[in-house]
Amino acid sequence: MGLTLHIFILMLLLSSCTASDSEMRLPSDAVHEIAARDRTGKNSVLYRVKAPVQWIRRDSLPDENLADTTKPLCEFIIFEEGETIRISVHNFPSESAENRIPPAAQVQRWEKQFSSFAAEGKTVKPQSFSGYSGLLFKGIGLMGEKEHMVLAWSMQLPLNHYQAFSQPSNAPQKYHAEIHADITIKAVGPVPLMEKHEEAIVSFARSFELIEEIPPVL
Amino acid sequence: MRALYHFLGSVRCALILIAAVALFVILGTFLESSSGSHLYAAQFVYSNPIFAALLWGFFINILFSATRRWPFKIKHIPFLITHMGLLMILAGGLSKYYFGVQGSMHILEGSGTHEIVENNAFAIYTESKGGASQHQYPLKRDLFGNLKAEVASTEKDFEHLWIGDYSPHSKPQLASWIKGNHLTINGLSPIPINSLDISFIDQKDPQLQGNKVRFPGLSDLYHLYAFRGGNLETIISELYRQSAYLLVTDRHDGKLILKISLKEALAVQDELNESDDPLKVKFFFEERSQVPALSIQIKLETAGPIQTVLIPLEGNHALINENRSTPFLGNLPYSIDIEQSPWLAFIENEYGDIHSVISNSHGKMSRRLFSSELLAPLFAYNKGYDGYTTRLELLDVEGADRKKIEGFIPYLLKKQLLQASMENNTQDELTPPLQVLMEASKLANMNFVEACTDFLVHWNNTTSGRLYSEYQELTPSLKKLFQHIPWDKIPRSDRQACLWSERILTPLSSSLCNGEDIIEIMREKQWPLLSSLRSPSLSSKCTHEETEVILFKISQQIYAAAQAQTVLDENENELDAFTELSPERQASLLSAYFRIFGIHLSSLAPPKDIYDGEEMEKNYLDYLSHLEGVIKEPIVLETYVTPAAKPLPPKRKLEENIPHIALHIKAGRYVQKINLFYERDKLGLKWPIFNGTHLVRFQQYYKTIPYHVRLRNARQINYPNSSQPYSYESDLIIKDLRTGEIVEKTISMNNVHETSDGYRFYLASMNPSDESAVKRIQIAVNHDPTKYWLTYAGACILCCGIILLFLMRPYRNKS
Repeated sequence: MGLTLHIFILMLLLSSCTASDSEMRLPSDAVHEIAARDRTGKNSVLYRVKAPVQWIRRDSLPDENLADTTKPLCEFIIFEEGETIRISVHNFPSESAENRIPPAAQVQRWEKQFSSFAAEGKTVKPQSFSGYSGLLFKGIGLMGEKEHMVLAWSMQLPLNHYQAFSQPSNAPQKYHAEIHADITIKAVGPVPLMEKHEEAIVSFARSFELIEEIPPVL
Repeated sequence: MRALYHFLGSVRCALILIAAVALFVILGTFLESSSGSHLYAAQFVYSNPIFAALLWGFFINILFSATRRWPFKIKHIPFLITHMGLLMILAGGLSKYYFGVQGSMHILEGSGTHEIVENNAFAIYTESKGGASQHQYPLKRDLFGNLKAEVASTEKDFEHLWIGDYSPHSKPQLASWIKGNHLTINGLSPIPINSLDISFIDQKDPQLQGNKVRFPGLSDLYHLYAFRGGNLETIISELYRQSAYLLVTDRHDGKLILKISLKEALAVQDELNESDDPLKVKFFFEERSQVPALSIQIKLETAGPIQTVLIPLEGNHALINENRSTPFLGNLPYSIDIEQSPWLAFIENEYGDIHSVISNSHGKMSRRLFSSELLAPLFAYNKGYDGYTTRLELLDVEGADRKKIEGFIPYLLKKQLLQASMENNTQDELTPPLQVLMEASKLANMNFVEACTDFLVHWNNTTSGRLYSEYQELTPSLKKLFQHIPWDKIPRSDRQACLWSERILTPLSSSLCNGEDIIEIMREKQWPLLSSLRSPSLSSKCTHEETEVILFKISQQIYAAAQAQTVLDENENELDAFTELSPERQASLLSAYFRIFGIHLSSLAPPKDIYDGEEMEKNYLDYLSHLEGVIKEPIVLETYVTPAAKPLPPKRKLEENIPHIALHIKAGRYVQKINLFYERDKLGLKWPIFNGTHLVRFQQYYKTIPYHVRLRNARQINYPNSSQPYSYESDLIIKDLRTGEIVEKTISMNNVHETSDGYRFYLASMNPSDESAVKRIQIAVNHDPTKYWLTYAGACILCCGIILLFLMRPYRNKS
């Protein structure tokens, strides 16, 4: 009788632990796949990223021409209390590694997008994830009449990764021509809302990756 | 036989085995702590066949001690169960020893692998052209850990592989320009090297071995030399000494004043004021910049002043004569050029690094260092099957002489003026003297930028004084310019300042040229503001920099006095008749105006320390591209790169050793020998063999596992508000290659991932630990194939046996 009671208590404890664990679990993320600008050939779905299920994804129209790199590959919208955060994902294809736009130049461009911007309010940090390396820009300034925060990543493949995709044995048959394009992820929104979702936006950006694995370097 | 059987199963045998194992473990602990190397202890103790034999001895001892109880009775059950548990644990240990996996994976963010490299296991890897056939030949070791000579006899791509020479530790090197005792440049026959010892510097005229070569596109014939050992400075000095001449020419008319061999000038030991020699030369490397230079003392007239000229031999300011005696007065009235047979030398130092040094027919030199450890640039032909090369690009070799290099400063000035005139469109932005010159150029229908630069260059080149000399004839275009100076637009007080400056500074220049101190001269002239020029407490002679500052102060004081009209000029009419003066005199007066505002070619030139910056280099190449007679396309020399190694005494910490082997490979009738050094982590170059049909590399032994691991992200987690690391984490995607099942997992230092069949993945290291570049992690992988059904099961059975031993108490009943 005593042994049975002990086993019963032990099982009760174990089941209660499981229940509390499931209650604490955060809402799961959804995996999104993102296609290249040129969607005509095969293997054109290049990237994947994890986004919270509450975020709204907005893609370009099927007949829209995305050759213009000012147009995003896709956007994610966080809509809350009548305010919006827009997270846009761009890629910048290049013909050679030398022709790529340096991440610092993208940061300068983002700074100029503010109508009024205090340089001391910005931070620029190096970043590396998913085989990309580059810069993370965080700045607060006026856009129009309202104060906005920009949280943006300008990332590119390091030279050896870039070259690994360009090896004669790998390209062009296996990989899409945009596989080694630079990428930017930019989130813009009102400061309080951005501060509230900053952690989720960082997780989103750092989950961004190429679907194809980067091949070994020679 | 029966006695042996009973001995092997006896307590005595067990005690002997325990004592032997204890001794081995003590030895292993001692070796590990004394060498700091786990590998050292493992190699001599734990991985030693004797230690494995002792484990087998335990297995036999336990097995026989159990079978000795035959026929078994009920009371033997606990004893037998205990021994079965022990046997299972030992069998588990032995099976892990023989069939287990222990290695590491190295993965970059974004990439993946299913190969692990085994620690301290070496292999020869070969690959046929196109990668169709790839083989790995594990290298075997003897009892002392040395590599065995025999590698493989095989029916694969090669019949036989064996190791000739072997060094347990070496310094990996890449042989490039100098291989063996020859200089090798593709397309040229090998040139023997000059081996230098200390006696070299004692020889007055050492005979240097070399060849003469004419490079395509160059008219000059180059002497080609190679050296091993010796001091770089001594060798470069000797090469100049043997071939160079110094030519002294008059700056005004370009006439040759003196030609002397550098050998002769370097030989002068006495002070010039005590000898009849006109020149005394010292070759040296500048202390800060390490640029080789000639310091030349020159005395052209018997009773004339001794002046010092510095000629740097390298960089964008090479060959420009620097006036070291009176820099505040501009150029000296003569210039010194170098004339020589051009040469190119490759000098190998004691570390195996090679300096390439080229000097053109005008003495302009450029150097490059080819490190033996990391050659850059390195070119692979046909992915390495046709070999690797390194290149030396020779730019600016022919035609770059002093005059052309001196033209770089006016070129920069023109560029700056153009930029300034584009940015500041109004004349008002310019300083008053430049406004005057701009007005004059408009009146004379000349381009302002060209006219201004021409005047500054002409002033600098032709005058050895603070102001432009009225006795120095202007060029026709400058004459035209100075006939249009709108003096009436210059305030009268400014004109007064120009006139006074000319009267004071012109005689001052000749006194300064004779080496007199400026403070003494001004004291003699009873200059009223002497104390403001320099602190009266300072008694030493003014330095060049101080003299420059004092001369500028004098110009400023004159200007201030003219503005205040404190002194009246006795000849006031002269102020209104500047336009009637000769153009040369007007140039002299305008140069005084320029000096008041601190304008001179030398003050507009960029500081010397930024001469060699990236931006300046770009400007220099841009300048060269506009010049005639200078080779613009670089001459490219190329040489094959081969692996080499310098044997070193082995380290006790075996993990740090880099072995080197001479590998012999037999294929058909041919045998090839190649030197290879160990490439850790399967990285490094694969070297071509048999005329590029195969590649070979000496690397870590690797094996594939049934899991493909891809690294998404790696990161360092810091304590809040601190840069101190709290943990390191890596996000992995692990794919079972047999079933296709994919698992996403984050591992950290204390969070190991274990698959259902016992593969364990530990995060061992991460580099770099910050976000500055793509991170690379090392994952330790191990697999014990019988862990669950031998080791763990054996331990459970052993526990049960021990419990039964206590419960059934067979021995107590017996007693």
